[in-house]
Amino acid sequence: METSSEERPIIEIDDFSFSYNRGETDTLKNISVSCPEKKVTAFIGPSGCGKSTLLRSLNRINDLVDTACITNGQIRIMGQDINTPEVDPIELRKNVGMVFQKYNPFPKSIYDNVAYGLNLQGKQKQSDLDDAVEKSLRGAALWDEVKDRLKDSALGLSGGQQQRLCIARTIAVNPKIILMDEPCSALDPIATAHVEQLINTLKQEYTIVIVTHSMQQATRISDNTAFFYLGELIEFSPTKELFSNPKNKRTEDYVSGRFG
Amino acid sequence: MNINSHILTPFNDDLKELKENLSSMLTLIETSFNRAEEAFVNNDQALCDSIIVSDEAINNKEVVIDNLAMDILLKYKPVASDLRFVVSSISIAKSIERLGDHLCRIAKQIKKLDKSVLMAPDVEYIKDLFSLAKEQLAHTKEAILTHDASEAGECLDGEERAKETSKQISAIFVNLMSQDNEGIPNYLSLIFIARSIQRFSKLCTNIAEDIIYIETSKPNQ
Ligand SMILES: Nc1ncnc2c1ncn2[C@@H]1O[C@H](COP(=O)(O)OP(=O)(O)OP(=O)(O)O)[C@@H](O)[C@H]1O
Ligand SMILES: [Mg+2]
Repeated sequence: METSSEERPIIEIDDFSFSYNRGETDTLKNISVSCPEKKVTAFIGPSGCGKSTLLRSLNRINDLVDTACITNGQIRIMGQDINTPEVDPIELRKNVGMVFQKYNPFPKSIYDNVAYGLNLQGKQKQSDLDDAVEKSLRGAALWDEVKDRLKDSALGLSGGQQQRLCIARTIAVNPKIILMDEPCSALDPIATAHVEQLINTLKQEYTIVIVTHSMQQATRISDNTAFFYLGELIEFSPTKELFSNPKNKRTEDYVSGRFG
Repeated sequence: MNINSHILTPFNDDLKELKENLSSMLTLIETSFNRAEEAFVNNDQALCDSIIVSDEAINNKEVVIDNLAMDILLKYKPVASDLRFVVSSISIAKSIERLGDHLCRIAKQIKKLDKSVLMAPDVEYIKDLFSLAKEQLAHTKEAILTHDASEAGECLDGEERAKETSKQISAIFVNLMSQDNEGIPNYLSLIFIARSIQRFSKLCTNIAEDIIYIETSKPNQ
């Protein structure tokens, strides 16, 4: 698969097939995609093509489905096959955080939401915790808006603020990779712009994989884009190329809104 | 260009309208061009005036195309070949508008010509230049209509030929000027006409390159 740098990509999806029904049918079929470090990779494609399934495979959330199984290939993160018995999914998820479409802060204070993951990691000094919370909220471009109401309930924030809080919660535990599944689909254009701007700054430190239904969003924020169709990878290219000069006819039909 | 239809029918309609406007703008040019050629051969002043008058319609078309293209960009955020087409339409319309300007210049020079100079055998070179440019114009228009990059490619080498011919023409008439003082204004007009046709030919090449870019995404060199 194509990657720009000689460096080893942080995520290597290698001929990966996945089934929700014990291998009877494959929802993902022989997918190979490499995500370079500190770049934004976008997954696009029609509803049901398997974008979320692939994203959830990257931090093994699919393990929660009993009948789910990998039917071919592997996924390596930082060179390590993530589906071997040695890999603890909880540990994996510390490195691979996730932000969901429906922002889901806990019904707790803003502070506690961000501190949550850190507390799970064991007892922390209060001052360290305070620092980490501030750093994460700053990182999520939310600090100035909430610094005077850290003890207020997170549910009192606007939708866009709640989503950025979820991003702050994710980056608090210092992951390497952030997965985002349609993070802006419930947000208005201004809140969307804030989240996009946040993604632009986050990619200096983190590798981001984002599922989006907005072609414009993919062109604005991602470096590489993968187009999926019926569980197959149709095209994986630098974003500019994929949207200006797609190699595959099916990609062009999809991104330009034509009947396939 | 991708010929599959868009799910959004107004998007289809707008793209079609944009293409039709480009093609009808070129038809206006074709009409003026044929008149210029005929006016040159017959020293027809009235035809020259009609070319100058119809330039306004050509200028107006450019405005219509620009507005339509902006509208499409705003509403549908086109990508891939649609984006190349819409953005290039703006530059093609600009080129066509300048084709019109050159035809006006040619018309004005023809009006200054003395009938007698048209008898000179060397005037044939200018007729050749007209034919060359006419051929290029036809390829260009066909390429827009049929989305055919190879048709546009046919247009490309015309530019070099036109340049050569125009150079030759300048040399011939500069030489004649030194022998015939009285004829100088005529010879100058003939040189200007040749230069304008040469620039016309160059603009046809630019349009052809835009079409090749739309169809193949290979950028202009
Ligand atoms: N937990 C599950 N159990 C069984 N099948 C599932 C499960 N989750 C998803 N699927 C099926 O797998 C296929 C891919 O679903 P997925 O959610 O990955 O698609 P998607 O590309 O993210 O679509 P959307 O754009 O609508 O979010 C669909 O046919 C879906 O019905
Ligand atoms: Mg999904």
